[in-house]
Amino acid sequence: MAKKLIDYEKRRKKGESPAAREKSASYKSNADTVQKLLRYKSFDVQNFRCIRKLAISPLEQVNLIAGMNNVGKTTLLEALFLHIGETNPELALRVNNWWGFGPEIESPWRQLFWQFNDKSPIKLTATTMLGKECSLTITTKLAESKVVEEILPKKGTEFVKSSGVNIIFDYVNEDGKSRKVMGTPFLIGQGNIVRFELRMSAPSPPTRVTGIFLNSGIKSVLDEDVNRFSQLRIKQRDKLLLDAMQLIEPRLERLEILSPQGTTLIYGYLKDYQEPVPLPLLGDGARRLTSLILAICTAQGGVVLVDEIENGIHHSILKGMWNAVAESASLFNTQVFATTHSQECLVAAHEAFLERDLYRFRLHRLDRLNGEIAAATYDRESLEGALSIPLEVRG
Amino acid sequence: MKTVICPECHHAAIEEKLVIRRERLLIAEGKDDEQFFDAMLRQLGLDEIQVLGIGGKTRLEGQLKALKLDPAWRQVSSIGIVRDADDDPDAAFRSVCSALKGAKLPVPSKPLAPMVGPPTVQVMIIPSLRKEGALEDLCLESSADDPAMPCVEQYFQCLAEHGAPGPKEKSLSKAKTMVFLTSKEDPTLPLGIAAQKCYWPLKSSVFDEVKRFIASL
Repeated sequence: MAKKLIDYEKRRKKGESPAAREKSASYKSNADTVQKLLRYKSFDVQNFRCIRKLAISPLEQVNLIAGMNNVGKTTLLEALFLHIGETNPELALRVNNWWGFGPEIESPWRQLFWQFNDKSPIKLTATTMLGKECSLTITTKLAESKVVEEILPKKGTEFVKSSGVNIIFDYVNEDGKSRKVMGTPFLIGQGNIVRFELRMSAPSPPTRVTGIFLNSGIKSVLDEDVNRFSQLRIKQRDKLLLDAMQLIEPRLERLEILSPQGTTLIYGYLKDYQEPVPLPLLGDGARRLTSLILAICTAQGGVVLVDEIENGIHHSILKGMWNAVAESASLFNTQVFATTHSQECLVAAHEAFLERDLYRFRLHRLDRLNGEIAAATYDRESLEGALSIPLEVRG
Repeated sequence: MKTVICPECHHAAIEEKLVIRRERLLIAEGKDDEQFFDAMLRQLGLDEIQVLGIGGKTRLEGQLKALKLDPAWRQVSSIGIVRDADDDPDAAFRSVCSALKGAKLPVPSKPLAPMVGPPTVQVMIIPSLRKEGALEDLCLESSADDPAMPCVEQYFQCLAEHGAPGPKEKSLSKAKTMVFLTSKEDPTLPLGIAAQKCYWPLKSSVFDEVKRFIASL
């Protein structure tokens, strides 16, 4: 077959991958089942990407993950993202897209597995704040490669072919109930385009907890931010965002959703400006902070995962940023996991939480020791001790 | 990152992160003590022991916890903690033990008695468990025969005779140390660097117990 996966390439060029790493990803929870308690008290990862085995505990409301390059910081966020989605194999495709992995049709999932060995299941296990365990096991199964539909009338589908390897998400919830969903990769040929599609054995139910992943790039998805800001306005909590944005732009007086030229954006009213200014024009830091705060407020009762949280933020406002993160996470009962390479960023987080009534923050440093990745978790006292010595806590 | 004054060139410098490099650690109170014990280790030829001047009486527990979280901690087989007695040697020992317990490290039953680990832990109270004071007292005692010492004593007598307030009793040894060190060729050095410049007679028998403690780590 001479046809190429052109459609997928088009999607890549459109910015889904690898440039899509700058985009955010999310899936919404069923509002009725929003968890009132923080989701994760501990988290174990087995056989996922570069991690053979990792246990991280205890987790707090806000968790900052530090460590050398290629030690599994982003991998840990991805593992959490998959776990939050419970039985959603589509997420496996999405996390691979962020890294620029296209669907290698013969083995589309191997990059997910430790040492590309999909014979060893991925196991992601969380203990909730109530002490209950819920686990996601990801396995693969060789799919029967056959053409299931043949050429249809002109301009219609020419063929649909199941191919390669199925992926199975088996989720056991905190009550011990298991649910399994299998994703089967299909090639769909149409004209000179071959497109990749994942078909599920069962529809994914609404996830019980909202999970939002903000990638390390600065640019956010503007319409997502507009939607999230609308939700914040409805809850009459939009001052949280205004307060945070004033760290970056003290002249900012008001935020509003406007669409003067057809494109709906968040606009800021600046002191002494005749016209409101689209928020993205206030700079990359403003965009990043907007997305961050809106994500935390939107993921009420859920989890926000942020890769390289300090990106685009000037060092002088890092503490203010953490204050805003702490305030919004506390108000909306959102659990936050972020990664960083920055000493200034982690010191700012520590200082911001020191000033709060409750120090609901942990620093987790990942190290590669004798070939295995291990986590060291700093609480208030040990982080204070480490910074006073000073010991290296970034890995 | 903190900015500190370089003891050698006296210029501002960015403080380097501490790296655990040895299996045997001697934990002292602050940079000054670290430099003193470094000089003593050199004199004893014990370069397999690393001194950590991490000091700060109130932060010891957190600092021990932080050290335990360091990846290099796994190689540590023995630690010694040196603490000034100040005005209550018993309380100083109990304070160290409390920090060790909080950090879930072996807790010795008494000073100089090793508690087997890993890591093995020993504590020394300076000048001793029976005496109030600090490292400065040992240094002054070691230099009792120095020709400058009568002048140091006279200086404080003179202050008293002229009605100058002078230092408080608990700070007298520190004040005497500073005055004594002004009698040296370089009159600006703190206690630790003074030890490295051989301004203190480290071979003095006054330091014998300290040396035995260090050698036993």
